[in-house]
Amino acid sequence: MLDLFTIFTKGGMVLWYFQGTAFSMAQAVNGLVKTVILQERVGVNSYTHDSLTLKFRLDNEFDLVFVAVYQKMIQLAYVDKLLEQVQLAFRDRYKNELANGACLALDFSREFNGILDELESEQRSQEPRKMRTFNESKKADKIQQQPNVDVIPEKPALPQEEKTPPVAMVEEAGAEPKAKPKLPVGPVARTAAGMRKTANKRTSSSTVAKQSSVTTSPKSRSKEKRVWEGVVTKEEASSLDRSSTKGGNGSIEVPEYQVDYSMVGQMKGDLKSLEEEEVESEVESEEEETTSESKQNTSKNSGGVFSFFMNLAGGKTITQDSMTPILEKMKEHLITKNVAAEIAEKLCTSVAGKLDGKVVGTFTGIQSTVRASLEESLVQILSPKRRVDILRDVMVKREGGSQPYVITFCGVNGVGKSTNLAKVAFWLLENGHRVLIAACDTFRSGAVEQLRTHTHHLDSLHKPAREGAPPSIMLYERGYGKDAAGIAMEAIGFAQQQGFDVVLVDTAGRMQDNEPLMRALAKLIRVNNPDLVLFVGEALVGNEAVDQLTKFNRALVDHSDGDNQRVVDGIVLTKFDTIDDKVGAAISMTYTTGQPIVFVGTGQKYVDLKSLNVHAVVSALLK
Amino acid sequence: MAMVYGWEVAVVTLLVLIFTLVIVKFVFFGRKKGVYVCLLGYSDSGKTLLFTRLAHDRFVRTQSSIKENKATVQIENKKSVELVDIPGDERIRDRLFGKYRDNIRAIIVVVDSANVQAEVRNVAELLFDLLSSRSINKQLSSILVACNKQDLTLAKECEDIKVMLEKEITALRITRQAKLASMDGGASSSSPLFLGKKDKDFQFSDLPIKVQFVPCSARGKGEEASSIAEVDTVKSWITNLP
Repeated sequence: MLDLFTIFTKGGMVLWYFQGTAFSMAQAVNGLVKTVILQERVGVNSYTHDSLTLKFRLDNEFDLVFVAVYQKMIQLAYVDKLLEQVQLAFRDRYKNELANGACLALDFSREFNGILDELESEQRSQEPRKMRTFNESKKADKIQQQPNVDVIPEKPALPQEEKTPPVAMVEEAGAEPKAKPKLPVGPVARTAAGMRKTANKRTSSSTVAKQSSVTTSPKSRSKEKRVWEGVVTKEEASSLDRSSTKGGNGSIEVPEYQVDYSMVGQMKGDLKSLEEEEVESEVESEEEETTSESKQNTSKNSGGVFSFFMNLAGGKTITQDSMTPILEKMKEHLITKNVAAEIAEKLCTSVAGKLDGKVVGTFTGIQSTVRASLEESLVQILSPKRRVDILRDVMVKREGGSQPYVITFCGVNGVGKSTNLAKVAFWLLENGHRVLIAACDTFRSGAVEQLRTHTHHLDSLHKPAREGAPPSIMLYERGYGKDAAGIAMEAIGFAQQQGFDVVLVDTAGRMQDNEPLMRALAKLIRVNNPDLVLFVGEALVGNEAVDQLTKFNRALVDHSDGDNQRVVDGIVLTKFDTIDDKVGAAISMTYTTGQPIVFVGTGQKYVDLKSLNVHAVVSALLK
Repeated sequence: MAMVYGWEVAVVTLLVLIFTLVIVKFVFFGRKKGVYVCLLGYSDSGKTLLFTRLAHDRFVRTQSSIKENKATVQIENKKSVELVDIPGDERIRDRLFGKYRDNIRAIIVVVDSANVQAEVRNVAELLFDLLSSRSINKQLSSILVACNKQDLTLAKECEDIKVMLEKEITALRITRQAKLASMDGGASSSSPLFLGKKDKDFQFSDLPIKVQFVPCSARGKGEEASSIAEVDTVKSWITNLP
């Protein structure tokens, strides 16, 4: 039944394994390690990989991982107990070898088979539960208490009653505002006999209701064209259309700008990362700088001298109880720093899971250990699992053919998509790429004009080298009211034709609960298959971040093709300058998706675009 | 009589003083020469197996590491080195390597020769970060790139891998041109070095650090438990360390 059971060290060496099939499951176990343990989801102890379920258990005293793998379809109830008992048995048997360190290829088969046989026979010996008959159930008791309904016989003949319940429901719904039923709602109304009785009681009062119900509408009314709220009709659209030509590049008169040339040249190369001062509250930043370096040196040396004594003094084991009050405090602290509540909870559970049973020297406080572990976990969460080097990717795409590199910005309303899109365009221009902006926000008033203004501004800042050379930045727009996915497709074709390196697609802001809009976004992404889908979120958001990201991800996955599943590839964290040190939103977002934060917006000018400095954010969180 | 006592007291005091100074030097100033030989590389390149071969001369099945492996290893009874196997996963590599970064004696970058096409960018970034870090340049004079998994049929030759990496690093040089200091990482993060010569493509031979490419196979041929690894190239490089 079990496909695989492995015991391996945290350093990666397999100490013992039992394999039920010839199929290699190393990939699945690696997936477990990377997805669950390294992403701090240790609280959830089961993980699914293709058709397999994996359950695991950590032993923090000897740094071991126990993993059981079995087919997803089979429900094995004893796996948790198996893991627990195997862990205890293994530790007892090999305590000495494990304490000494290097131990390879141990033989544990006999004990393992013993435990497994015991648990399997226990499961088999439990009789399968027989289902209760209706009369024995609680429902029959409740019905018997009602005076005017007879108890339904064992197997009610339902076929002829199938039609009446739906009709009865409709009439019920129609009649509700008109007549209050005198029958008690609940078990009575839901049984077939009860519903028939309700229907009969109401037919008298429902003649009026019938006229208003949906099922019988007079056929004489001609079908009126339905007017949806909020959608711009063709006539209105043409009146709103401000493009002077109906073509692509809208070359209207450019109003005179005060062009600020001082910005040019500041953003060449990779983005600067956030500095310490930007993340801290102002008061403490200066003292921190001077003392941090001296602190580093002294702590290293004191560690060296005292670690000798600490190893002498023996150890104490960390237990769940000793950690709980500290973790509670840490959790509340994180919540005050604007981390979403459920994320803080999961994080603390994960840290507890990683430290449970660990042995530390008697001189080290539990609080400092927990704090250090939490800090490690936070750094791990914020560190990207793969480097997102956009400049490099653009170069690769350019070398590979004439296809442009497409970046899509999506997010809820008002988070700063258009502003940050302009900042990204500025950065790309600084690095010598040609950018096309696709105005796929066809809904918000002024969206196209805003992007046009940005385009003019950026163009005048980065005039092409020779006269008559093609412009380095252009806007592709089709006015308002059109289908966003179609505009995006045309824009990408246009970019390919004209030799643009990057296409930045701006979409309309939409709430994550709005089903039709989410579907429209998923369609845009599915049809155009952009290279990078960036979710733009503001740093001010708290618990909402989790909801937004989960729903956006789910919408993208649900409406994408089977073999080309797209999810959010990266996060842009905006309005970072408005929060002093309440930087929790960064954690909430990266924890939910597992994707890195690619850009951080720190202001409202073109140069206010930085990359994430993990240590600055983590130290601000834990202060 | 008093003079004799004076002599003895003076000698003893001197000895005690010297003794204290030596202790102080070792505890507070540390040893100047680096200690650790670190195995670095991308996930799934074979570091842990290579470590086990060098340290215990055995085969072991491996999974992704989440913690480093350390051992004091006797290479062919000539030298004893502190070998450290650092997990390859990006999230924890920097943190764990940071513990040993200021105290390294040698670095071995392990590369999966069969899968190098897909991962050449990641390996190039890793090498780029190492080679352009000033603190690493100060401590090391040579780096070994072990092209592992040579037992697989799709494995590429060392020369091909070298050329691929040189091309990637040339491109990386351009995109990282104006990168300023302040990434999390080196405490001694002054501005990173420019690799190679400015007006020509990057080549490993242009660097002050000597980068050597050797083939090896930690898995070896044959059944798992009885396979014989081909890691002599790595072993001889380690024995030739200063």
